[in-house]
Amino acid sequence: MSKRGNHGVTLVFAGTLILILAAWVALVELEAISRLILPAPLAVANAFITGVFHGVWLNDIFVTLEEAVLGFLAGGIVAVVIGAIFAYMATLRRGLYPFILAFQTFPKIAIAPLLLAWLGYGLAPKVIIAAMLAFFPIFTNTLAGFLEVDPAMVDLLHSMRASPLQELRYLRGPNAVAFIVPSFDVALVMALLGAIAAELAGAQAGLGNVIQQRTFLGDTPAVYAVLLLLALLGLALKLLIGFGTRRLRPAA
Amino acid sequence: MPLDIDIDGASKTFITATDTHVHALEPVHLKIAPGEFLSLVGPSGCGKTTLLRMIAGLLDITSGTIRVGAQTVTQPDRRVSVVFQKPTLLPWRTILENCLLPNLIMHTRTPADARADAERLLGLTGLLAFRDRYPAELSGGMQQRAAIVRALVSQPEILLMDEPFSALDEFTRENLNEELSKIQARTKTTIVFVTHNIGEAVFLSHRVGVMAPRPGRLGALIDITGFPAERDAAIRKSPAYFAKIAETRAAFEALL
Ligand SMILES: Nc1ncnc2c1ncn2[C@@H]1O[C@H](COP(=O)(O)OP(=O)(O)OP(=O)(O)O)[C@@H](O)[C@H]1O
Ligand SMILES: [Mg+2]
Repeated sequence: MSKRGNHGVTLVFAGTLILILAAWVALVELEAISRLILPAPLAVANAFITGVFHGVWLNDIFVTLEEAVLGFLAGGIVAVVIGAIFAYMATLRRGLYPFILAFQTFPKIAIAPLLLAWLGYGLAPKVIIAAMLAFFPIFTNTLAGFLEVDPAMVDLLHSMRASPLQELRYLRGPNAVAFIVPSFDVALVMALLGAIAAELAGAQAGLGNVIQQRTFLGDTPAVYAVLLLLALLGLALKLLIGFGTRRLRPAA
Repeated sequence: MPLDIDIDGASKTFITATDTHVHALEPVHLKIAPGEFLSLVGPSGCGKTTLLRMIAGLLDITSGTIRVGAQTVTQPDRRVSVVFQKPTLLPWRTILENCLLPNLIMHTRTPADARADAERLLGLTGLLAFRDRYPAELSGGMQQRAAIVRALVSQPEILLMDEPFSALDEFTRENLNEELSKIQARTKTTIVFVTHNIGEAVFLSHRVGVMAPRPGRLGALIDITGFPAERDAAIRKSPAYFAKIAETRAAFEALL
């Protein structure tokens, strides 16, 4: 049963991939769409090889990853600290909730031009945008992790007369970890999004910068190649964090 | 030192969010002797869990008082251990780690002592091979057995058990009934045991409290005499056992 299921999954995956490539080749061959909009797969592959394997974009890849990872770390640390404080201080939480909600619903990418004007074209504004986007998934889960504890388990600890510190150590802390860790991959992908968006607003390096330059030059295959690279980078980051945090997840 | 429990007119009225009053339990008068095994039987919603949680100090008493040993109950007491209706194991701790949690919090025994006892009790309940597994890897019945081991490792003087065996199959339940009776006969722990199962209550107890719903109340008390302190499987075939089941059932029907 499971073996057949696996074959089915592989079939669907490979079939969809082949279908997309075939449609792409067909559209290009029939010259249905201008090459400026849809380049040939081979041209994209060439651009990808030049950019990635010949090292032309190596610095840009590094810059974008640096922005995304620094943003993820900064946003994540702030999110966990503020989340924990809010969880334990109900008055603060309720009083500041409207501000948090406003900040959460606000399209944070929109302040990128302003940040660039203040802080220049360097690393700082990108890290800040990436951090703001990475903040919310982790913050929300931190809060939930400390507060949404099974009441039966709270009863259990009360029945042993556990101190608040023991309750944190044995119940709320581990419960929070179980909530926070799964939010890391979403947050990291958000940080990558933030970094790219900030680069598009103005940058001297980075993959967002490459996209903008190549679009300006009409080098569509290179733009497609960068998009493909970003998809692969996002996937790699997600897998990496999944692997890195495997031991932190509960067996359940 | 086993402790007694004195329930002196304790009642519970819940006030819900919509401000309606739910009379969950009419005043209960009940004295439980040190070392006694008392069962509470009754249909769903008659206030069994409510009474148990009030004894445990986990729920405010609306009127009346409950005394445990020399102490009037106002908060949980470390000499009292609770087995809840659900296993309530921490999912990120292994079975053994879960069983050692009370000792980590209360420090009543040396770690080595607690560990040895936990492993012995896990063996007794057929869980030794699973001690390093996580709760999610065990069946519901196995989890409940682990929860019972956890309660016993803290060597409580009073054990409050809320339908601990209701998730188990008949055979496992009968086995564990015999083990529990053995443990109780040896340790003389005072036990209040909630169940839906009249046979189980008769098999285990010195006395059975029969409860009735709408409003929740303690209706009758049946003395179970003539059985040895350590109950064995043969009792389930004895005429005295069937007679006590019939008597309990009759008391229950009289309350409806
Ligand atoms: N927190 C609560 N708020 C309002 N009503 C409650 C609450 N807890 C219990 N009740 C009510 O009190 C009554 C007794 O509940 P209790 O849980 O003690 O029953 P029980 O005998 O343990 O039932 P079961 O056998 O199903 O576990 C029920 O009518 C229930 O609806
Ligand atoms: Mg109940």
